[in-house]
Amino acid sequence: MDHTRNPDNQKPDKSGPGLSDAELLGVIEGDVLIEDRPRIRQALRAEPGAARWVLRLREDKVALSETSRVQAPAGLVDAALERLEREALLGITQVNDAEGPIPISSMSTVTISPLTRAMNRWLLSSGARKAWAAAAVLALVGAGSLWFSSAVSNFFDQISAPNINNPKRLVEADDSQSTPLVDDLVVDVPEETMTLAEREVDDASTVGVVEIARVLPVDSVVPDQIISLSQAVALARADRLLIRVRTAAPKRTTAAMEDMVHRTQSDTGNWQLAAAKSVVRQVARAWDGREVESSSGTWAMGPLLAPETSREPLTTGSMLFEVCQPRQIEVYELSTDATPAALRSIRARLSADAYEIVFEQLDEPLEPRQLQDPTQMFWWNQPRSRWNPRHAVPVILETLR
Amino acid sequence: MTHEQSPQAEDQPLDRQDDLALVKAIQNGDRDATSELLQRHQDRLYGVCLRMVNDREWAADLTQDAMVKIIQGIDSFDGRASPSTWMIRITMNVCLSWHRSQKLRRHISLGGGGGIGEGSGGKKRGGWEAGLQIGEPGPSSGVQDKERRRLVVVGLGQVSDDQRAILVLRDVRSMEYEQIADVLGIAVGTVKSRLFRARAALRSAVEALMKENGSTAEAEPGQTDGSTQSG
Repeated sequence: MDHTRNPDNQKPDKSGPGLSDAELLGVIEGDVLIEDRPRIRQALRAEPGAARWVLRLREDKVALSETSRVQAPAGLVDAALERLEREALLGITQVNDAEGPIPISSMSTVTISPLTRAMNRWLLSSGARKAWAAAAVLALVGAGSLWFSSAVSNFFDQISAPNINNPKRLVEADDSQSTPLVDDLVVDVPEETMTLAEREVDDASTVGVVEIARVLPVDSVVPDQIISLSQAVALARADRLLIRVRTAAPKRTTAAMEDMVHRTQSDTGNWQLAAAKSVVRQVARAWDGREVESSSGTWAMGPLLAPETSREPLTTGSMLFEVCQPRQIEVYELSTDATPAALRSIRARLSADAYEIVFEQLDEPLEPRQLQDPTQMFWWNQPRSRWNPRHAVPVILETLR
Repeated sequence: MTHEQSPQAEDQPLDRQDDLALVKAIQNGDRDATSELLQRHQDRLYGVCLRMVNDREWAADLTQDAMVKIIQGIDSFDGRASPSTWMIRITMNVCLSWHRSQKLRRHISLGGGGGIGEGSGGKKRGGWEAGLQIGEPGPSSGVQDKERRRLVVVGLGQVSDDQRAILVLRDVRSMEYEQIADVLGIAVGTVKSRLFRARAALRSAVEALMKENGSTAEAEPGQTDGSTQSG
């Protein structure tokens, strides 16, 4: 390629005789062979434009080389070492830049199988991102559906009357038992543990003194006939809960409950005690005289019973022998949202002035509900007061004689 | 910040011996050798990155990337190339990969116009002139020399990545044709032809810049160096 003067931009044109690119590069780079120097010098003198252009390129080279004098910023190596340590801890190893246009001839690269490479590319692709996003949305929808179905199921469980027709008397149990479904609440009393007297009570609802002659081990007094707090919650939500407050000091307990009635709101605000309506009184009346088993044992009631009843428990070794005949003193109506906290609260308050609180199951719901409009399943569309409706629970204050 | 440094060609024999010893020590698990090797080469690596991207922040980031890759790949170093050349190769690959990613990003971004180093990547970056470090002492501190350096650096940003790479390796790192060929993975003859075209392209860019700016940085040849010294 020949280079001659171009008067416009000082670039050499390619029309005339001159030097090759390699020779011009040799001039610029300063590596012209000694034997070639005279010829090249003469050629450049003959072509001042080409000589000027080569000189400019040479000056560019010098100027560029002068910009090489830089110093790396402080802390660069430390930062790199920290990053190396961090990535080593995390097990991250970067693949060296062997896939660029510049081959790394002297490096062996990390071997990645085609399958892994394809998978990695796919994972980094926009399609993969969309797939992940779709999966996340589906997961959210699925979780929401599960939650919704669970909520609807619970709702129907609450509004539907439980299929419980055997009103075994159940005594309050320890809170550790938690079987929320109503159908699971009632445990049939084994035949061998039921006395003739009990059957008489169940069958005929006999009112009067019933002598219960049972000899039971202390540990098995009521282990499988009791209603736990969570079960009581479910019963309350089905309007089938009744609370018996048993006391050996009727005057004191009555005064305490009257005091609770006059308070407008409980401590937690989720229950209120009031005088019973006629419906509640009617229900309670059927429970008057039903005998009671003591879950706490007679030793617990002894001190309280002693002043008014002078009733002594009969014990034989580890065996408990008890005869209980309740007598209603007063009936109240508890209005509650039927939450565990509410029942726990009312139980604690009642227990302060009574010796035993017994949860029992009503034969029929207190206020049978009609199957509500299906749209009411969507409780969030209902007024907030309906989100957690109140339930009425008869509270019977009774003493033993 | 630049400092006066004596011009140093790549891969002096003594340096190479030291580098090889350090690489071997690193391969044997010597952590101190890692730091020493990186300390020895950080200015060179940073210089390559700075001229390739002409932005100090990006250059620091890319140098760090290159250092990490160098150490992580040190076990694969087999001694066929000198450690210095091998490290420069990795660094150049990092820089070229960065350029490719930046081009892709600018292509994707509707508003991503602008040249290299112009605010891409979410960081505030200066243009090519920002990395020139004008005003810092150089071998020749005359106004014309500073302006010439500025024009050359700005012009460097206007040539292609391949041309920039070969100019940086040759002029900034003072590498021999064989070393450049090793770094870029091309034949020596190809290096020469590409280098010549790169110089011509740079000259065209500088002259275009001079026309735009009305610069008088370039005096007549006789005023600076009228001879065409050879050999």
